[in-house]
Amino acid sequence: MGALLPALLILGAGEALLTALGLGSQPHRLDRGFDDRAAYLVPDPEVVGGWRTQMFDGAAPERTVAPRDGRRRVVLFGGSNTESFPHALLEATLNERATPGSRGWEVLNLGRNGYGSERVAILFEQAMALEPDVVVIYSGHNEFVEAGFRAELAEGLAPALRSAIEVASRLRTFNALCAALRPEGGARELRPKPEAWNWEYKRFEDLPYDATLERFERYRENLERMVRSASKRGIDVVLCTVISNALAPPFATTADAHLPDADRVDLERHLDDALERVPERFRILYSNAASDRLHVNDWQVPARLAGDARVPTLRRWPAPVRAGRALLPAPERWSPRAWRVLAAQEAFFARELAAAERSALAGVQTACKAALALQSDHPLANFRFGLTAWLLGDDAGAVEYLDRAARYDRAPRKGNGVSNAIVRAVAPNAQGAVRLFDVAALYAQRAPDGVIGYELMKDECHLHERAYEVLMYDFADFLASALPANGDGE
Amino acid sequence: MSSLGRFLRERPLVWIAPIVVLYGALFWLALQAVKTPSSPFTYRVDF
Repeated sequence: MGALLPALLILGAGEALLTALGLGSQPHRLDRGFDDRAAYLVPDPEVVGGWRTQMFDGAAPERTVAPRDGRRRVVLFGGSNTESFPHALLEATLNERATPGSRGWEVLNLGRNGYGSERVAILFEQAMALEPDVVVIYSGHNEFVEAGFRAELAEGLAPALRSAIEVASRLRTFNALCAALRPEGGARELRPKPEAWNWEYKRFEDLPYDATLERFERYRENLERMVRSASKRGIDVVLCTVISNALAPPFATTADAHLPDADRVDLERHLDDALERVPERFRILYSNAASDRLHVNDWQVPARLAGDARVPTLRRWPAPVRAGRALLPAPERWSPRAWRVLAAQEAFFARELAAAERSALAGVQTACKAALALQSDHPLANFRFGLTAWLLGDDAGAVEYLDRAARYDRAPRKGNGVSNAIVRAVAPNAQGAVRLFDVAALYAQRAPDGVIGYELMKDECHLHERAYEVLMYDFADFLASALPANGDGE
Repeated sequence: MSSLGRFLRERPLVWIAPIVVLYGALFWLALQAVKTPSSPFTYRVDF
């Protein structure tokens, strides 16, 4: 024991010194927010009664929340879509439409990219301190993005090592060491480029569909938890279904593990055969290769000359969306991949087929049918069948099979029929003041032919910036009608 | 006090070793810890 005394004395002296200097007080956490102890919101030291978020790690400005005033406070929750909502526009629109003398509206945005329902639920609970009058939950795209984080956490460190770190994080010495050793720029440095996201898809390749549905059950539970928490405080809840791009291919598409090996080989062969037969001008839409997928970044490349290339025609949506070019950034900002996809989409929706193309597509349909005969819930087989059905004039079949493709995706990175059905089921069955805003149905109804594509969406789940503005007007319409000013006299 | 002084003077390895082990372990643990982003502020991915 005597031998340890000097070490303990030095450690104690170090702790005292760090305490005096105010260093090392922030414990180094490994939970990435999957922990009730993670403090998403802290009182703003500069504003009495104000709050400040701790969510962005320097990647974006933290949100500050002013002390409550007399306005009705609306708080938005969700992932990156919610984060991208131009909430100031929503607030201004609501206030413009408010009746004179009413309390008016204040809209706070607590959306955070990458967050699925699990972390949204933790943040949600803490955000009750903001005393919202209305909470809006627009979540459902990120259940497997978030599951990927969790899996990565489990894989990243052995349990014993994690425990040791958690114990050590009670020491200021350790926390100060972590702060000193942390990469410059914090976690931003660890953010991979889109090309490196492939591992994310591979992680779930062999996931059985039961496990996919199991994950969605967690989503249901998280929604119910949030609804209960708000309802017991008398807070109005707006649950939203989410908009997804029907033309974005499924992510985890491998064959069912129960399929005999010979059938798996045949299934892959049919799918390859289908792809090979697709006329070249449509092919990029059929591909599920990571290199052919559009990402948010594909719409914000450094401005360059578009040259003489003809800008592809985009379908025109009915008012208030109108779409067309108006919703997209200038063509100079599109990546070459975005150009290719939009050109393919233009040809796809035009459906002007040469006889040889029609014949080739009949072959694609036959190959997809053969694949579906082996596994009817194969996501990619459903997807390619749906695209082909559209091209051959079967609109209803296209909508049905594209929906199936999304629904059977083993690890979807967009909301789908399963997640939206959960929202539709949770809302009416919940206790308290819970409203359903069926955004997915609204946009499916508006979409020409019922197929939402890249004229509205940047990738599988994100809207173009100006489409978010249209969506804010939709939200304003909904909130103003679902939560009319009769609450103003409270 | 003199016995502690004698101990420190005569058996330096016995008391220096725990210091090295303790701080070495803390340093190594910190290195492992910073390999993954801290939270809840973690970034990693995808919008």
